[in-house]
Amino acid sequence: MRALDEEAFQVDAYLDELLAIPTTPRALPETIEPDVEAIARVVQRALSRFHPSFRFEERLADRLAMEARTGELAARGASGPASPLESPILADLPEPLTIGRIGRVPLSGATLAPATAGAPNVALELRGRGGLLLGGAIASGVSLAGAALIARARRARAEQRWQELS
Amino acid sequence: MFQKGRERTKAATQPIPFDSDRPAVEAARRDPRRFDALYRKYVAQVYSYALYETRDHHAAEDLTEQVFLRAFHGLPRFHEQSDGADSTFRVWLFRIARNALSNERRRERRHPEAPLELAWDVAGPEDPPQAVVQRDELSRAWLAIERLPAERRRALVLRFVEEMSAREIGEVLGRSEGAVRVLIHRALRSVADQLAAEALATNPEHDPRPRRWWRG
Repeated sequence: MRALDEEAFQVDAYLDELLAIPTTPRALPETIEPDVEAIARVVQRALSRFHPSFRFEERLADRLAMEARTGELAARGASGPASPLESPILADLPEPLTIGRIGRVPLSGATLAPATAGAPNVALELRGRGGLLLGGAIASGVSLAGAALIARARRARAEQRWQELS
Repeated sequence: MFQKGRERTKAATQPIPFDSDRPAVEAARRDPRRFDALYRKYVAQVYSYALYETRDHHAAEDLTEQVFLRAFHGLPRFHEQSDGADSTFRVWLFRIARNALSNERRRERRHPEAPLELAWDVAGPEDPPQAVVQRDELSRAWLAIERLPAERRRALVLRFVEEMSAREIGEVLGRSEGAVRVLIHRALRSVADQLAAEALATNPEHDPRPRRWWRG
């Protein structure tokens, strides 16, 4: 075993040189048989390094970049507003008269791309729909309140007339 | 040329003083977008390792993706000294690859039906007859490597393809540096034996050069 260790060490040292400077001829130490060189070179040629496809490499690079961005946003979110999608909408709520255009109101959420005319995309569409839904709900609320006010005014007027008649 | 005795023992126990990837690792810790540099540097190495282990391009891609995603998310927990004095980013990355492979094998329990004919992908020289000879030689060598026990083959791949030192391979495989040296030495001997036996079988007149080295 001792001799094997010694031999293995010598071969390992030789491989260090072979792999470091593969094209330069070198003198083998006397303790190593010349065939070591031959077989090591054959194995070296047989075991090549492979590169993945460019497409795969770039796709994974993009995925890692996306992970980095997500992590960055999460880190920012921890000290900022709890929900980047909701709070900016509520903070930037326009006047009721412009509520129908909420879909076009630039939102300050970091995850959303700015709304640009002539460049439709899914995010923009969804945001538009969300805005419209939200705007519709608020508009409905305003309408109900208005109807209640009118009804209340009418009822007060009717009560007044009733008292006058009686 | 070669160190002997005390000198050799000293060299074997000396820790690697500096991980050449340390600046890139620290940069990636500060700004995760800088992980790209480490990724570009090691993507081919990890992919090659995965390809030799799985013998399937798609499986190798999946595994490479897993390894880098795990490394990306685990980078804040990576410390050079925590896993031993010789632990470097590269060793850590290959440990992730090795663990991912083990998990994958446990999960799927599948083994390739056909050996991967990697030798055929190696570009030959321009001279056709020479190319044929070389291809044949490489093909036979690859088949001999293919027949090696998994741990020996793995050690050869890490040594020749990834150009790792015996010390690094030991860190990846969880073995001592000396054990790795012996593993590689035996692997080479096995390949040489197989090639010699094959040459003798195809040509009984074949009189190989003295091969005292691989007679054991």
